[in-house]
Amino acid sequence: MSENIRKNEKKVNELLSCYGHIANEETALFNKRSSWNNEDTLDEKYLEFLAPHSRRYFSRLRPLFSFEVKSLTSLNAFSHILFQDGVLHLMRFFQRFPHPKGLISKILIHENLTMITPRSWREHILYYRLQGRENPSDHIEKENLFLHISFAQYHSDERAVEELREVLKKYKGKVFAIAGLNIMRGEDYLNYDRSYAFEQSSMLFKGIDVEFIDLQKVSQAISSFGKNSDFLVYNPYQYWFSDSYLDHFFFNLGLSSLHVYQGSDNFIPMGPHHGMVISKDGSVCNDSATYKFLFEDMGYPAGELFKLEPPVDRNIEDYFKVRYTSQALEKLSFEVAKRLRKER
Amino acid sequence: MTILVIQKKGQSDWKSCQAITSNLHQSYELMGKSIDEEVRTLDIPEAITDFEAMEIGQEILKIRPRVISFIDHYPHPASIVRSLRKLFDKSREDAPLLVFHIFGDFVLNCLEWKSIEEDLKFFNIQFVAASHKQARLLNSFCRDDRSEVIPFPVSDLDYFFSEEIRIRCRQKYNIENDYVFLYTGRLSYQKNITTLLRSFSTFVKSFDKRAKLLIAGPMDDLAIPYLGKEALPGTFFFHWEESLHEYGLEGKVIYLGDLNKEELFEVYNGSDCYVSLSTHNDEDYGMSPAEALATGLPCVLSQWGGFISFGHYFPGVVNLVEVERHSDRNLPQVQSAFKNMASQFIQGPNLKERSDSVINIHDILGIHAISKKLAPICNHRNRAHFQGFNPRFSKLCAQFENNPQSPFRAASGGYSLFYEEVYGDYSSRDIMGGEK
Repeated sequence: MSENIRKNEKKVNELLSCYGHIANEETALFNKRSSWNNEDTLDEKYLEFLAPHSRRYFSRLRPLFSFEVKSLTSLNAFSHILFQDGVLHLMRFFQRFPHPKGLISKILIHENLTMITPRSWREHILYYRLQGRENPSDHIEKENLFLHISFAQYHSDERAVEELREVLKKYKGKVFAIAGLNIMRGEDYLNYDRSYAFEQSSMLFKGIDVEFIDLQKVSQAISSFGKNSDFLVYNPYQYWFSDSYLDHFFFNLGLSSLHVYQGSDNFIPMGPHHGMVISKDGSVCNDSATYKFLFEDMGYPAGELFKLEPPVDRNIEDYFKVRYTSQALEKLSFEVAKRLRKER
Repeated sequence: MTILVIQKKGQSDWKSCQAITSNLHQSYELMGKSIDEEVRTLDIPEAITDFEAMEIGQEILKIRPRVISFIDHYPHPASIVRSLRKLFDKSREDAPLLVFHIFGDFVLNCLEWKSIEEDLKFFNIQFVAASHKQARLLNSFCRDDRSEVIPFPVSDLDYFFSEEIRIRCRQKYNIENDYVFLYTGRLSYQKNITTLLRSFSTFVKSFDKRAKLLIAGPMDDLAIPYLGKEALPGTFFFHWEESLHEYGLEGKVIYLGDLNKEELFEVYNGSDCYVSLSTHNDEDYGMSPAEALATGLPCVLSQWGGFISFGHYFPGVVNLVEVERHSDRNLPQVQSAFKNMASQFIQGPNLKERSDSVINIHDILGIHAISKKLAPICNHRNRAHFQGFNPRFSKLCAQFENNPQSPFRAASGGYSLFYEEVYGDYSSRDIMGGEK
């Protein structure tokens, strides 16, 4: 078995330097964020908005959100970085940096977002997906589900909620729901319509016996129900994030996931029960309708429409005034996210 | 007459505490039957305001217990004690005996204890420590000796030796022909897991390649809170992987995940020797080794804290690994650990001896055995009231007040001399005196 582990590590190291003393040193430096990437108001606002998905965790793949990147060349201190981004922030990143000028590092993005990668970037991009370590042949149908659901604009819609409802109905035992309402700091007092949260919640849980619990109470619930439970971090469109702290949290508590094991090639363990698979080739398809829509019709990432996106001003300290993306980009990104999901 | 047992409503987040509270509860019930006294239980919420504590106090007043025993680690009894003091203020002679079963967080909660010092002096109180070292620790902070030693009970019905289960377990994990070491409990920096892996690696390289190390328990990333050192979630797993790699232990170490009671019972029976090299400052007892012992499993344990009591009770079954200071840290001697593991291996598993030892072990740690030890505590009427905490305790509280994030951190960044003073006795084999 150790022979196989070494073989896999060698294979992984051919794609990116993940193991070894130098890699470990870079990872340790990466985790000392204040030494190379001080958190400013913009970071704080969006990290807080995305919480708990944005909680920091340790990984050899060095996860962060692209909005935290102040300069492209600052990433050169590391052989690779993983972007936890969803569609919106990744599109903004490539709009900010249409070319990887001066960058020598590799960036990992979620394989479902391959279609957003500009051609100019492809040599610098590797792709990841999350995977459990449980062999499909060992998998037993579970009775209970721990569901984390965030209510935020563009995170889901009626159609996705209906699909989720069908998933919930399959569980014969208990459904534990950990629900969050994600609101931007500085905009929380504004009179935005948040009824979608209650409408979606009502639609989702109607007639389903669900127990709402706090994230702090999850460990307690797991001690009674964990062995016979799956977990799901609900993220139908990968709009706000692709990699969530919560996936790792639930995996490390020993819950089964719907991210089934599909093979051990280029597999990097993150914990005793899960890891990530990395690959060089994503699923870029130049004939894809989404690809044509985005790159040809919209002129993404450097076309005229995208030049209208305001520059990022990191000197603003007022939470209300600091903003990373325009409403126009947010709406477009949601359209892209829906198309990507349809194509999957 | 009534004995009132107070515990938290719902299960604790700490697996060991779940078992401890449940077993203590059973011990009290058995004790009640044996001395013909009613034992009632009061379940209280995890967090209570002073108003809620007053309501609970009123409820207790109606019950008029002779003894109130706090058998859970959470919530801290401070608010209940305050409310009881107010309620019995005018009738001190009717005040019940307060019994506090102390878990590993006494030092951590020193400020709460300090806040009720005057209230505690009003009552006749009894601290119950789970081990000799813990009792000495508690007494070192009090003006009078207030601690009795009563181990946390282990369920005789859940943990015992079964040859049938042993065979089944060894087939299940394909370890029939191996000598099997076992660690159960939290996998954490606090538990010196890396040292355990290193010791096992030394054993395998020097001794026998057919050995396996089974490891069961949740991984956590609690680093060293007393030094203000935190670790990101996932950090421990990284170091675990690196250690397995460095010591060439892939395939020799089998991680079983977090097991339930039945699964633990199975692996205790299926193994040949339990090993823990923890020198965690809150290792005041050791529920995992206690459960292992209850199945007759020989143990190699660090000579530290609560583990030393196991060595005292069961000298033929428990082997202690010396602990030495490395700069400012207490760590088990790797060579000593290796020698003890080797010694157990040479002796080989003796199933008859193991089965015979269980009776003696249950007679000391079992629920029935503990219930007998509780009766004299509850009948202890004519003691002087609590004299209060001493200046050393005040100094301890000041550390926590001034540096709540790193109470024992020296200016140099390591452990302070005061930490060494508080826990200095924890590595001495002598359970009565402090000399090594």
